[in-house]
Amino acid sequence: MVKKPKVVGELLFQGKDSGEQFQFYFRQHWIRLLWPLLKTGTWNLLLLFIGYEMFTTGAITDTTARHALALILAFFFLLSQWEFISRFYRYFLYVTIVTDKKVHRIKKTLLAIDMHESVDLWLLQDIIKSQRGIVQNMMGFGSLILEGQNQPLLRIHFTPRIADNYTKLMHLRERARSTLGA
Amino acid sequence: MNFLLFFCGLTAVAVLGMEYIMWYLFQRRVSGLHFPHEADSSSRIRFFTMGRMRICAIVHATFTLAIAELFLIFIW
Repeated sequence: MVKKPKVVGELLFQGKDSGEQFQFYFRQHWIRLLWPLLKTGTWNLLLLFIGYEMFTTGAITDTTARHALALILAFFFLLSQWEFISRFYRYFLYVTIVTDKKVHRIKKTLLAIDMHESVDLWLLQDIIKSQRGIVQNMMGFGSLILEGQNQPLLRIHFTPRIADNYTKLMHLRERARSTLGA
Repeated sequence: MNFLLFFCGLTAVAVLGMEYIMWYLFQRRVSGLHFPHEADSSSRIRFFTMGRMRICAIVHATFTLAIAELFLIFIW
């Protein structure tokens, strides 16, 4: 999500320490929206087809039954649309933010979930980049696993532009370590 | 006819009410997650701003309302 640009390092966000400098952020890859979109599209086409058939063929002669069918079709159409729009909004509420000191993962839903996980960059022993399968390699997304002392501290799945983000993270980790050592 | 009008009105209220509630919740939740375009590393194409999201919400509400009303009017 974007508002008018300010001085990048001075941006405020939920859970930010005063000494941290904001670097960049990313959401999950857009492919996460593909399944909700396909599901809603299929539902809508099916409902439209049933509605069209009823309208053109006049298969149901009983008025009450036709009214009930119209209401049921409209109801299911509304349900599928509301499910889609809530998934669409949720996509924008799942953000990974990288500062010069930490990686923050903020995951929210419209009502139920408000999660914030943070990992210190200098604590990271390894950053593992994992892309499995043709789709992930072609679309350039995958998982980043941030490992501490022999255990994963944070798994970031569906990381977009994974090669770029991996390089940036490695660079920031080295910088954080050198700052700590100095 | 009266029932049709009643259900069309009810659908309009439900759609507009639901879309407004979802937009309101989204706006509340997204506060604190506004960042500049140049820092977005999600994609090369940076499209979604709050203004454009609002337009998307209005377009979606209009589309949903239109199709739901069409279902009712044509099949009734």
